[in-house]
Amino acid sequence: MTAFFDARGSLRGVALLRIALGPLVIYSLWPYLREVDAGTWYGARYHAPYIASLPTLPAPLWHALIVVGALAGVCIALGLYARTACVTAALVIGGNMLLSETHYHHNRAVLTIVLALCALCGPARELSLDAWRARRRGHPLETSGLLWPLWLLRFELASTYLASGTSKLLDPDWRGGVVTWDRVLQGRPLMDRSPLPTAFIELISREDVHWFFGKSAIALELFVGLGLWSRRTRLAAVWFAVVFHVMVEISARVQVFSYLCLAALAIWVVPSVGDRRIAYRASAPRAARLVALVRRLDWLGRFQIAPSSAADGPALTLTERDGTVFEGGAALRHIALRLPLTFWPLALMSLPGIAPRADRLLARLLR
Amino acid sequence: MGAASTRARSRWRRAAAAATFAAVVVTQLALIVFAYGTPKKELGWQMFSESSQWKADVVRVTRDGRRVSVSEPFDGYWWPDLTGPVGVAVPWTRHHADYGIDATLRDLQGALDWAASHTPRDRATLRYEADITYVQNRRGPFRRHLESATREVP
Repeated sequence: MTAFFDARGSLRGVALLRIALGPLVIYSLWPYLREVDAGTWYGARYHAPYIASLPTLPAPLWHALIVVGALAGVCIALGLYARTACVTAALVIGGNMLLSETHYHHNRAVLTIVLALCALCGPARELSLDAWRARRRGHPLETSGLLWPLWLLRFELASTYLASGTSKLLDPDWRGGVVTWDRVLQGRPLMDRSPLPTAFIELISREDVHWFFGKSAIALELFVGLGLWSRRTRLAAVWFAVVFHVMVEISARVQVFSYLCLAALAIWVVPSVGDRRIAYRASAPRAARLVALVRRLDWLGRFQIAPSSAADGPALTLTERDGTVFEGGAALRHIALRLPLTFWPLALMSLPGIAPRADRLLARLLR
Repeated sequence: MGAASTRARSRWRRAAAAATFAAVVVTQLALIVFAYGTPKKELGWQMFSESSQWKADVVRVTRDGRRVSVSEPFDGYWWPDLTGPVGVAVPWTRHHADYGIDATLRDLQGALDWAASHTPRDRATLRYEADITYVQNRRGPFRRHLESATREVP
């Protein structure tokens, strides 16, 4: 137990999440910023504070709080006084929900919790103006941080999938596919005007399809919530989480929820950096160019990259953290699997039976 | 660089960390369970719980017994302005029931009461009434009637 609360590691994934949180804070506050711009105010319309004794804030004060929250969003994205900015944004978004039940949305509540836990992690150790300023002062920030807040953040994010999936599992209408079927039928006029093939629209409008789809959606949500915890299933869980959130974003208005959950997938990487080694033959120009691209896309800092002194041999070599070595196309595939922007299609290319062909195809890029 | 490391910290810091960790986990789990008993499922993460739809005829019942739809402005007030950017702002068109029918009915009751007590220029309305028609996950239609408290009209 002592080791759990003393363990330290890289919080690079949290830094990446923090950068995404900035715009999400502004997006979340956008309806209220428009009210500030229009000079309107929640106190002038129906509102119901969660705590009866909470006074209705005067319009100028509420406007100021909303603007402060948005400015905090800018600071969060830049990593400027990032911890304070995260706490400020959490207080503004969370406080605004307390002011009225009509302001409550699950996505805003998740955002508030993520902001608070992000602040606890120490979000400015990397990729931030705070870190840059500290380096300039000659006192660089320590890049490693305590890991228990990261575990708490993981718990909170996994709980959204698990609680949501469990509630659907307990609901006979969800299990039976009634809810998804009804939603599709409600959206049918829109789909009929869309370029979707008629056969597809007919298929997804069938009740028996939703008997299966409802159960699949629940299984998917539960798998993501559980699968993220194990290294063996994590890659698949992240892959399916992307599918899940894209589906949700297409089918429902969920404000920041999908973007937040997609960005938060970054926190599930193993909290260590540079524990995979890439060696490339300097005399192979294509390999050198690809490695330069990898450097730019390695946002999670997963690779140590060095040119190989050997005159011949494989153009590209990847040494995994367990010592496994991949060469050529296989190395390129495994590298791309670890990069946030390329992992999703590459995961498909890593399926059994497809991987050897993918490796041969990718090897051509190195020639 | 590399794998996670550990570094000894003071006992009280570790205890504070353990207390924070336990408090967050226990509170979150409790909220998830507690949410089953609340209309809006706050912090219980029950997303897209229903596909239900609803619409309502919301009227002002005046002193002379007329029933006037709130879609008409009155005495400088207008229902969408009184209720703002929430689902109950335009009740006369069919809506998806965000957070389910129970949460919607609760919001609508709150909006009726709020309008009744925050429209001092209106000297004609005795109370607000809503006749709601809803379909809950394809079952129904069901009907409900809601009323605000009766206003003191001078």
